[in-house]
Amino acid sequence: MAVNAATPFVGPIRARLFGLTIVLLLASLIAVSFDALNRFEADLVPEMDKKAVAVGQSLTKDIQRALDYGIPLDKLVGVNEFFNVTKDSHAEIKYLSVTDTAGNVLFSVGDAPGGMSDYVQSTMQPGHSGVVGQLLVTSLAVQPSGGAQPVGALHVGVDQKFVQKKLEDIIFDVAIVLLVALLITFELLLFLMTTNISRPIESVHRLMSKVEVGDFRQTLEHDSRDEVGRFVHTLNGIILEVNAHYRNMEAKVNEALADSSEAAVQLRKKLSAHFFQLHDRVHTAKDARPEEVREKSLVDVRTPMFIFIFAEELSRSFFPLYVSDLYRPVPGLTQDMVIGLPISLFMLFVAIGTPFAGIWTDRFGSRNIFLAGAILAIAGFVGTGLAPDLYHLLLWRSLTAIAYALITMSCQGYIVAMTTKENRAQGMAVFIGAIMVAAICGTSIGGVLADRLGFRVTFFMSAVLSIIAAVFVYNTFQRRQAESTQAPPKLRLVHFLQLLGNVRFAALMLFGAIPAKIILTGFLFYLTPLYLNELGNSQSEIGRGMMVYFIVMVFGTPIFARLADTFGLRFLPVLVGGILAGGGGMLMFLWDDTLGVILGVGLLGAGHALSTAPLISMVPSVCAREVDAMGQTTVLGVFRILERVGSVAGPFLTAFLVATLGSAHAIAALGALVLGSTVLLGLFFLIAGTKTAEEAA
Amino acid sequence: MSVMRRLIAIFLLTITLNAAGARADETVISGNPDAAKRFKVYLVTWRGCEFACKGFIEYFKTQRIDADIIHRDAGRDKTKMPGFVAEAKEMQVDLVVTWGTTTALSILGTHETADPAKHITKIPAMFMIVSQPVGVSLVKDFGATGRNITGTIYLVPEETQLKLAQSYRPFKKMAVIYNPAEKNSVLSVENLKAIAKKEGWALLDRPVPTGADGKPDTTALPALVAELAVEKPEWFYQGPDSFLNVNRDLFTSEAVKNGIPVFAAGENPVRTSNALLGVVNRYYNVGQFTGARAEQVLLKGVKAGDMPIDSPSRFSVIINMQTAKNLQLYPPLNLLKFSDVITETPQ
Repeated sequence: MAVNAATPFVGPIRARLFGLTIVLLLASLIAVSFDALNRFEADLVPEMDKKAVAVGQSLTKDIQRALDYGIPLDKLVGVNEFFNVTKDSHAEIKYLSVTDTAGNVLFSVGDAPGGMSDYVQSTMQPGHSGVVGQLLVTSLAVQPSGGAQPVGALHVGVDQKFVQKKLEDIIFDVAIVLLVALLITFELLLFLMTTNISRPIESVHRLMSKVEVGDFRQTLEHDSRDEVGRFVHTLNGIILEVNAHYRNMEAKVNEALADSSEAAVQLRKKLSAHFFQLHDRVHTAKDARPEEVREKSLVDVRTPMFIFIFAEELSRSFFPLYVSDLYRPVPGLTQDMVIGLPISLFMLFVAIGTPFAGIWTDRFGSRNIFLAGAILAIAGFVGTGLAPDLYHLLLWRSLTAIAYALITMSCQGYIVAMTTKENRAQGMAVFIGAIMVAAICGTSIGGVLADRLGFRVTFFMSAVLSIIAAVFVYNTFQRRQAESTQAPPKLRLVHFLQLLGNVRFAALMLFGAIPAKIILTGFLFYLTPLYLNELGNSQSEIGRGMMVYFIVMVFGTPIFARLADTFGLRFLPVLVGGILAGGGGMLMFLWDDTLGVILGVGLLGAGHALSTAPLISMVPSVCAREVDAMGQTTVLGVFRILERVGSVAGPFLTAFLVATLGSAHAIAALGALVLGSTVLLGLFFLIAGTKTAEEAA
Repeated sequence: MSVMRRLIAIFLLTITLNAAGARADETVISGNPDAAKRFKVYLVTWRGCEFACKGFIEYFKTQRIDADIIHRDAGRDKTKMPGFVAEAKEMQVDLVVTWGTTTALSILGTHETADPAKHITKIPAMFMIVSQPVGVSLVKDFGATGRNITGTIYLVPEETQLKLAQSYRPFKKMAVIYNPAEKNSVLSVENLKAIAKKEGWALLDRPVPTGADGKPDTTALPALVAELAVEKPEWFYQGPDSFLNVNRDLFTSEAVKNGIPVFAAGENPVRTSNALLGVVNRYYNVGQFTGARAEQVLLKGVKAGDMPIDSPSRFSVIINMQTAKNLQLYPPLNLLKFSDVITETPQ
């Protein structure tokens, strides 16, 4: 995915290789998944049956003890309370009953499906199982000890839906693993193919084009030992040889020029015509030492960035729950606010760190800043995973936030340095694409990991991934990076004041960008994990639910962008996006269960996919004068910083809403806030127009 | 003032530590650590060596504590007490242990009246099987006494007892008969009244009338039980009352005759009579627990006066199944799961 257009050879090779790999991988993954599911299904049902028998045996033992003391079966006291203890501690057990030898039900708890009394009347065989309605009923004999005749039977009803639910959960988990494996494979293939095949081929192609016109001043830096490597090596050898020969010839010509004999003069006449002709056509390196060229690729950035964001997103689906585990009262804040605090603080530190990270990247180079960020991130993840209380957690998360700012800015700097103004947007799209795909993978797999390994171990996994990202950068980023083509904007207070003095800009911030960030951090990052957990979802389920946002974003953004471009729309997508995002939140008024939340998350994703890019592209047009005065980069820099006010405020505002309205209505209120802001934004631009009178003229 | 007190405390502590250090040094020099000297423990009981006394003695055996236990039984005779006090002092024993409230008060005195001439005050001492140590002024509260004594209690807190009675047979009315001459019993009934008021059930309390000889009248018991039974209480409560404990066969069988179960704060009425339910610390366990605390004093050098009054942490629920059958009042399964069940009542 190098920025330069692929050469005619590389495109088809890459496409075919990708296609083949994906097909092979998909086939094997699906086969493995099916096998895993079959095994699971085959094991699950007997397991459930075994469990019913185990629970039943422990119950009959207690009943037997009572019988042995001479208490008649029908005179047992407190049987329902006794059964309820068991029923309440095993979610899958829905029904328990005792019948006498005639099959009359003496005691029972739970809802018996129709036909149960007929069933138990006919069933007295110990260990016998059968299906009644939704229940798998296992029956055990009840008898005094010492081999006496049974005096009755105990029936344990296990919910078959529970078995089904377990199976569905596993299917979902397997599907997530499949999807993530595909996405990660795609990233890795991209990396391998770019570094090993398409980039060298493109480089060779470019070099050959130069040679074609007589330019022998460059060789290629390439150290692989495969076919491509050998080819490059030979090509480099030829170029070196040409250089050497040319130099040799030049020396001989010079020698000849120095000779003043008649023969020499004749020769010179003949030669000079040819030589100077050649000299005009061929360019060789000074001292016969061609410059070694290494071509940079956006993949150099994309892969480590992907890995780091993947690491960071692993905790997305459970982070607020982890915080509530470590909860400690903080004076002046409600419990909900304290749980939102680490997210807000993280956003705050990212906001504060970003401008500095930009300046440092410029001064120390992307490689150094990325590596510094990775070291902080590793410490941050390990510290977060070990945090004994809230205060340690806050410290380590703030450190991770600074790491996040350093790493993202160093990668942006790298892209800026290797792109031109024309293809920079494409470069940034590659970058944002990696972030979004990593968010899909991290959020979903993080949930699965948290379910199986626990919260703390998942943070350690993040640390390990950060190490891998650092190793990538250590090997691929160049030590001496080309000077940034453009200095980062120096943001001053006066810039903020000037821009906020522009009512159109202020309206765009206040009614568009800030509410969008508030609902993102407040609803998605903070409240979704807490509320889905409250509704009884597992970590994997929460991760899957949150992943929907990123999936809709990844697939929606390019489609909507193309549509908007085709119809030349900017403002309409912003409005429709705001209405979708807000409407998704307000859905909670009607539909406050798990599915409703996921639908809301999906609508939020659709809304943001529609509005995020057009909103940013509106900024230069409503600030034409400011762009002229301070440059577009500065204007967008101010926009980015102000927008983060919403990110920081989101969790706090939401915590406040939760305390007064409860979780579901807090989400709805956030939706109403976004919807209301969008309406105000629409009305404002309807009345004021998107351009000032002088700009329009 | 407080600074002064603290300074004195530090001073005393320093001296004590130095003294301890010096003693340790001597031991090392002599090379013969107390081997010649066996501990002497003076154990005074009220009515023979029953379960707590046995638990105490057996703890010493199983832990192989090198001690002679000198056991003296009063045989319910209070006049023997001054003789025991004198003997313990004369023998220079290392620890005095008492069984029961009367014994404890006679040997140790109350926290207000303890007299070095009449009581054990210098020798470390430990009481057990005292139901209301605070109520009878043996100690001021359940904290460390500061005197050279400590003790163990055996009653399970009344709230806990009543909660278990509720879980066996929910009640709105409970009847209690007690000997007004026993301070323990009177205090226990007062506690019950307070709890009844708080929890909203009725307590029917009747003192045993005094006979012509000035002692509580045993013959009045059946009539008293019958009279209370008319009010249909769900339970009779038998508190820590010596008179009722002595007459437990008569009392519990009269209750069963009237169709009302007895719920006892002690072990014996359930184990050897016809009470239905008891929530107790078993005497044997209390004896062992007291033995463990004696070990602390003798071998670990803990001061008796520094140990708070304590009880074993796990209590037992005892159910008399014969009575349950007679009354057709079977225990709920959840309670039965962790109960000791008495299947045969020795007559």
